[in-house]
Amino acid sequence: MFRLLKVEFRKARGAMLALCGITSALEIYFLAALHGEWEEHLAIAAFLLVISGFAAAMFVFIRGITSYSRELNSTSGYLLFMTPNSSLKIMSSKYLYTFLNGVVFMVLLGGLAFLDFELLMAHYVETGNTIKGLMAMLRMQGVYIDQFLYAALFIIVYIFLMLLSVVAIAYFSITLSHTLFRDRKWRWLPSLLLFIALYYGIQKLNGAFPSALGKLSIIGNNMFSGEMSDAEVVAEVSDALWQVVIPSLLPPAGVSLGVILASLFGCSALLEKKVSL
Amino acid sequence: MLQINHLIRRYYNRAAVDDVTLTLDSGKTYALLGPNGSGKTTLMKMIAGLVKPTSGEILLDNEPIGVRSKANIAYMPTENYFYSYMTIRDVGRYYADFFSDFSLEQYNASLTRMDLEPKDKIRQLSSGMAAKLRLALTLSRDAELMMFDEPLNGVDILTRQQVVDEILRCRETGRTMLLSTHLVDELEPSIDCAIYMLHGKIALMGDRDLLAERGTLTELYLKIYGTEGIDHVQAIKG
Repeated sequence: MFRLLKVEFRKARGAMLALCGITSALEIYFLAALHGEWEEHLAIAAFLLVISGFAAAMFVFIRGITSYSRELNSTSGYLLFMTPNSSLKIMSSKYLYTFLNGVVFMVLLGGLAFLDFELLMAHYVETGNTIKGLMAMLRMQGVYIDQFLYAALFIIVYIFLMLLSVVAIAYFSITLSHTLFRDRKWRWLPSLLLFIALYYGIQKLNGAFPSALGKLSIIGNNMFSGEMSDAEVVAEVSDALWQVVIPSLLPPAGVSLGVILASLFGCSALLEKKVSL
Repeated sequence: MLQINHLIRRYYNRAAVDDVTLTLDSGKTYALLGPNGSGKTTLMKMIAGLVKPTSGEILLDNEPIGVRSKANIAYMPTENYFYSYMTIRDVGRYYADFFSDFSLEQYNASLTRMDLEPKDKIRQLSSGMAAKLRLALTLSRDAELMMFDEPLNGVDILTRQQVVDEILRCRETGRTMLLSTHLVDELEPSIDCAIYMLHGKIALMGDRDLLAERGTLTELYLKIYGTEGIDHVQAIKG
């Protein structure tokens, strides 16, 4: 598995280096604007960094899909499928690569965001002190920033799982289309239609689970009624996150995991028995 | 060693391989002959596990083609199949990672003999250099079954001689080899048995010594695929 992962990372090396280069350039722009106290440029740099972070995340997942499609449709697939590895192992390495690549980028970009935030707080002392004061006040009210961080982490993992499940649906659509329409130039069309149909079906399934919106609207009404202090509002938000939002995300997260596993085993079975290069 | 039973591969209305049954014995060199579209490449790819049969079975040492057989079969496709980012050195390392019978020393020695530079990028190779690279990779494996699909395709005369010499060298090791080629006369001295394919079927198969009574492999090729065609095959079989 490690060797297969090595191949996947090596294939993507050029693209990942390009992404790192773009992010580094934007970070240099940000740091220069911070040092020179060019507030307009600082705002632009921060905005571009956020956009590039999302774009990088999308790129990682989209690239996983296009790379797999290219492998099935070109002779470079021989190199992988001639090796004495089962289709399950090959597909697992692709899923694992996409997951690990996403995690690495998330950690790097998250770390960068944290460092930039710390630099901003250190540079804008008054604002930094205000935020620290607010956090101290919240701690006195029994609200810890950790709760928000853990909730944010859960939501990020949930979004990650959703994105991975989209990749899984794409892998399955590509594999099934290649199985049925191997020699047809228009096989991309049934692949796309199948992807849309499966994605729509899964969203419909997720829609059948109880929504958090009803409970959140009641909480929101209480919060904005003017009868609660700021600290009580923050505490209410924290409770809402852990008692309403996160539990409502668990069933769709389970569906995403199920989709990923079904796609993994489905693609492996098709590749083992049916797919020809 | 390799047993193929009633193998069929259909592409929509056409049978690329049509009910092929044959046995390859250990230690022999087989020539798989036939014009374009006769089913040679499809047959080889099915043995290599890259194409799945519509029906029938392929057994290597009595086991169906699968993960284990891929470790014991070395297949040289006629197309380039490397990732564009690779260098010649990278390809060797890739093979060394995945095939336990691959010898890096032998590979490097082959590269030197064929005037290939390890640091050269795949995308910069000419068709002849790429053909030599494919050959160097395949010959550096110590597989039970070695398959070469059109090893002389797209190479100049000098390179062709190098390729023939390498294949003859491989033959001396006693491995089972299956060669597909249009240039029958160049490889004829190294062939033990010839398999002629026509429209996905085996038109004729036999040891070279026995077939020699009817002519050289090249003469038979011209007779089978020439104007006399299938009638001449029947006459030979009769």
